[in-house]
Amino acid sequence: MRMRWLVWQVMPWLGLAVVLLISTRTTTVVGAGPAQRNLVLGKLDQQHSFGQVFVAEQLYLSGIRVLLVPPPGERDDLVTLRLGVVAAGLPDLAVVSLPVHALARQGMTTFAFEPLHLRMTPHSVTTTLQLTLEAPTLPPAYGITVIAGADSYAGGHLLVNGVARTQFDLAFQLLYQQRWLDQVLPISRLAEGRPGLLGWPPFYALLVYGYLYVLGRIVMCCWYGLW
Amino acid sequence: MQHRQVRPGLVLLLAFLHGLLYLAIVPPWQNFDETGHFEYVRSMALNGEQHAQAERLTRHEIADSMYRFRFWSAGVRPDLFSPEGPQVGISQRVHPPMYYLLAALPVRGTQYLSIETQLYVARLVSLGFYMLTVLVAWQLGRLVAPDQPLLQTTVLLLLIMTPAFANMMTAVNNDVLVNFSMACVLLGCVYLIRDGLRPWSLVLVALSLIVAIGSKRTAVVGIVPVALTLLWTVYRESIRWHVWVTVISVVLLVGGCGAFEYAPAVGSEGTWHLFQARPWLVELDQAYLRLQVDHVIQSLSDWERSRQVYPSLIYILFTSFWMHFGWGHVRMGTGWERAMLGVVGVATIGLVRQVLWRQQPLALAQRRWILLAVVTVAAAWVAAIMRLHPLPPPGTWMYIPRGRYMHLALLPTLWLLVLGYNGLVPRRWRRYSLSVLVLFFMLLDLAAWAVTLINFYYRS
Repeated sequence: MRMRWLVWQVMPWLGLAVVLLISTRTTTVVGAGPAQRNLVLGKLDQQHSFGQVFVAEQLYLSGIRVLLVPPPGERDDLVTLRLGVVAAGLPDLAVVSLPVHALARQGMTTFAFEPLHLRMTPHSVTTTLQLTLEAPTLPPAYGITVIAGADSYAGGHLLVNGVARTQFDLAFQLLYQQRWLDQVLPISRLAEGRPGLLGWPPFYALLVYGYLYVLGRIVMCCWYGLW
Repeated sequence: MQHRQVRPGLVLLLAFLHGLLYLAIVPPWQNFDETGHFEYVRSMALNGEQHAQAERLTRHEIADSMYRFRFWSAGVRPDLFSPEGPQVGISQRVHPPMYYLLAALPVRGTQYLSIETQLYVARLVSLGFYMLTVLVAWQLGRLVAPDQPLLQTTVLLLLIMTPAFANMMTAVNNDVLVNFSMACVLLGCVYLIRDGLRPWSLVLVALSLIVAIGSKRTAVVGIVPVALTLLWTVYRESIRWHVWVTVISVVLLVGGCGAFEYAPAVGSEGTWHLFQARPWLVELDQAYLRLQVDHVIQSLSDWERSRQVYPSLIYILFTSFWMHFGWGHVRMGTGWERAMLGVVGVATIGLVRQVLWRQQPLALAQRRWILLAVVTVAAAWVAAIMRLHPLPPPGTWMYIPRGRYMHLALLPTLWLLVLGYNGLVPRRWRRYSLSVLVLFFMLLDLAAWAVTLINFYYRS
């Protein structure tokens, strides 16, 4: 009897808490990127910069991973990743700098920034973006090896010193911030641009939960009392 | 087994949450003619201001919002600077103002907030009518089948979970008030059938019918069940078939002679005689009905052309009645359409089986309610089909009416559906047949909002 009371009284609130948790907590997911990363393209230093044009696919871009091989030693020169729209003359959307010694020696280096809200609309001009890697103080003798691959990414192309090299793509991955529940129910997109409570993503999760719970209660009531 | 009813508060809560789900999921301006209906509401909220400046500003705000919410396809941009304001859809000012006056009340209090906030406030008014409709259906069920809580609950759940109806009842649209008023009309009719001519029942019927007709011309259909009910309140006993024949003949004769005349018509080919609407009907037609009665009569006689259009008309009416969303362009797919056709077909078999075998004795009031439901549904279908006429000249665009015009008869339709399943199987298996029906609607509804609408608007 006590167990049954516990189930009926506590479980709904526990469910509510779980729904609230999974609709507010965020996670990082990896977006599209080139399939190939088998070419040594060149050295990133004070004389050479590299870049990549790409299309953001989700609402919140929170970082970019790039495959770089740092030189031996513990240098403090900064490697800067600039993120902006393709059109010239517009300010950068994000700028992240890491010292050379902080670059990953195995695998990709993550340049993380505050999540950028990108409206995924056909009208938007901000979904086609460009990343640029610079190392303005790094001498050529200590250049960072940049890895790329043959053209396998449909959303853009590689840039070397600002010049397009359409037959190549930088070895990169886009990182997006998502709510846990977004994978099942796109609550972030549902709330996008809505006024008041409707603009709060967890509202949709709680609404669906509330509806299913009440429906379940009625069905149970009918099952035991009527059907 | 001791039957107990589901608490009405719980059902209302379900209706509220379900309606809110549709209200929230469907993006702004993505319901039938919602732009035009809201423009009307906004003008009422601004104290009925209809001068060009206020209207242009409203259209400007709506068009801006439509653009931000990706209403148009890529590359299409509204002309915000045109002198007459951007085009945001067909004006709905041809409709009587009843619904718009009611929806404007809370919108007036939010007129300085964003246009989307005002739209959602107007949608909340519709949600209120949705809940009231469910409440009326609950009371109607208690009157019609007081000892059958299973039937009552099944009808309520089906009413709540009919996807196209929930979608329509949470949109800014005068059909919302028509649907609610018609539910009240039917409730009043049931009171009259059960208790005879009582003042309060009569007031309920009259008031509801006035509100319905004062909201939209489609509600004229409501006169049919009311007329039938009034006949039944006079004849409290079973009516024999020869009385029916006499009454129907008299009604057709008096109605026909009163509304039409065989009069001479003058044209380029001379003078000839034909059936024409009498002046009072022509006047009513021009002021309210907007049917072009004379043209409709001529169009109806063109059976060759009508015959070609009717199959697709009936298909669209049927599918959009149950499962079309947005501006009619969001659909659930042929699989669900065929399944729905199967569900209705099985219910029809059940109804026919009950009529032929007379499985259980019903009280006179119950039999009359069933007949009233049949007549109301038939009248709604005939009226919807009539909206196709007059047919436009061959080769020109033709407006095909949608099933939302028949939502005013959803409640009797659902009763017939449930009664069909109830009569399909022996008594001891009935709860299973009704369970299957409810389960189907639960799945249909879940697929509608969780798959069709979300995929269309948020995953494409």
